[in-house]
Amino acid sequence: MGTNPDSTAETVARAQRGDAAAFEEIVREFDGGLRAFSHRVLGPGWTEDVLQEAYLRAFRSLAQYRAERGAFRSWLYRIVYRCCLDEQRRKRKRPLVWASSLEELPSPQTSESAVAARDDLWDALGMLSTEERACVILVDGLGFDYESAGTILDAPRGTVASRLNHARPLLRRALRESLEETEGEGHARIPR
Amino acid sequence: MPEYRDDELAQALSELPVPATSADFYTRLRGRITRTRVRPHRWILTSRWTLAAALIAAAGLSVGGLALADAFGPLHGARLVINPSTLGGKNGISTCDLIGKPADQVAAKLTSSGIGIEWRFMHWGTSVAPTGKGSPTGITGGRTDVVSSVPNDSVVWDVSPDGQTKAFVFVQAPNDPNAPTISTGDCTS
Repeated sequence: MGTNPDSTAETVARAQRGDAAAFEEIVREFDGGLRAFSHRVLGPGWTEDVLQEAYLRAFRSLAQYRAERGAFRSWLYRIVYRCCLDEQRRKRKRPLVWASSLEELPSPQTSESAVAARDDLWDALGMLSTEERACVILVDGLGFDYESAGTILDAPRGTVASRLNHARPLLRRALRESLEETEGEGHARIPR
Repeated sequence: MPEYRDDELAQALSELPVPATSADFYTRLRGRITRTRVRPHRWILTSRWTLAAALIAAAGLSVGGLALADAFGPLHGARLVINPSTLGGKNGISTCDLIGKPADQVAAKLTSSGIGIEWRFMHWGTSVAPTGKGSPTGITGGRTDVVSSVPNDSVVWDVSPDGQTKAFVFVQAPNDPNAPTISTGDCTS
C-alpha cells in the first residue's frame, strides 16, 4: 500500500479533533483495500452498506484510537470486519447468495482462462468459513502479517496460521483444477 | 512459527474484481457524519450542573462585561479529561508531566528525550452542543492549526504520541477565554 505513515498519522490526528474533511481523506485512502476485503468476506451485495456503517462507527470511535496500541490500518480493518460479522448475522435470516457474484461486477479485459480461474477461486472462497476467508484475504490478498491479521480478527497468531493452513490448499486446488480444465479445452490466454 | 505468504494465491486474489464505489457514497457518508456531530478527541465533559452554572456565568458576563470572564473561568464551563499515556524516547515520559505546562518547557523535555514535535495550536470553540444520545456535551466550533512553532507561553493541553519518536503536541493560548478546564484523568499528583 502506498500510504505515507507520517501523513496518515497527521490526518488521523486532525480527524480525531473532529475534522470531517480529514476523516474523508482517510476513508478515501483506505477505501480500496477495505472495499475488497468486505466484498470478499461477505460476498456480493453488502459492501456499500457495511462500509457506510463501518466508517460511521470508525468516525465515532476515532477518539479511542491510540497510535501506540497498533497501526491505524489494522484498527480500521478490525472495525470493518466486525461490521461484516454483524451484517452476516443479519444476513443469516435471508438466503445466502454467494454464487454468480462476479457477474454483476465490471469485468476487466482478461483472458477466458483467467476469468474461469477467477470464478473458480471465488466459488472456492465461498466454501470457506468466514474466519478462514478473512484470514486468507488479509494475509495473502492484502499483505498483512499474521500478528496484524490476528489483531483484526481477534484471534491468536497460531489460529491465523491454522486457518491459513486449512484454507490455502482448498483455494490452490480450485485454481489448479480451473487451469487444467481450460488448458484441456484449448482456452489458454485468449484475450477477450 | 514461520510466516508464509502464498504468492500464487496473492496474485489470483488481486485479480478478483472489486465493486465500484457508488456515485453518492461519499455524499451519503458526509451526511451521516454531519448528523452524528463531531466528538472531540477526548471527552469534554460537562455535567448539567456545570452547564447550568456556565449559563448563569454567561448571563453574568453579558451584564457585567467581559472583564469578569476570568473570575468565572471558561465561557462554557467545560472540563476536558485527558487520560495519561506514556511517550517513547529514552526516558518514557508520561503525558502527566507535560499537560498544563508551557510549550517551551515541554519542547525542551521532549527534545532531550529524542522525541520530535509536531505542533498543533487549538483555538477553542465558543459553544457547547450535545454529541448524541447518551453522550456528554462537547465544545464545538473550534479549530486546530498546523504550525511550525508556537509562542513559548502557550499552554500544552494534550500530547498524542505518534510511534516512538514523534508526538503531536496540542497547545492553546494562555488566555484563551474558551479553553476548558484540563483534568488529567489517572494522574496521581
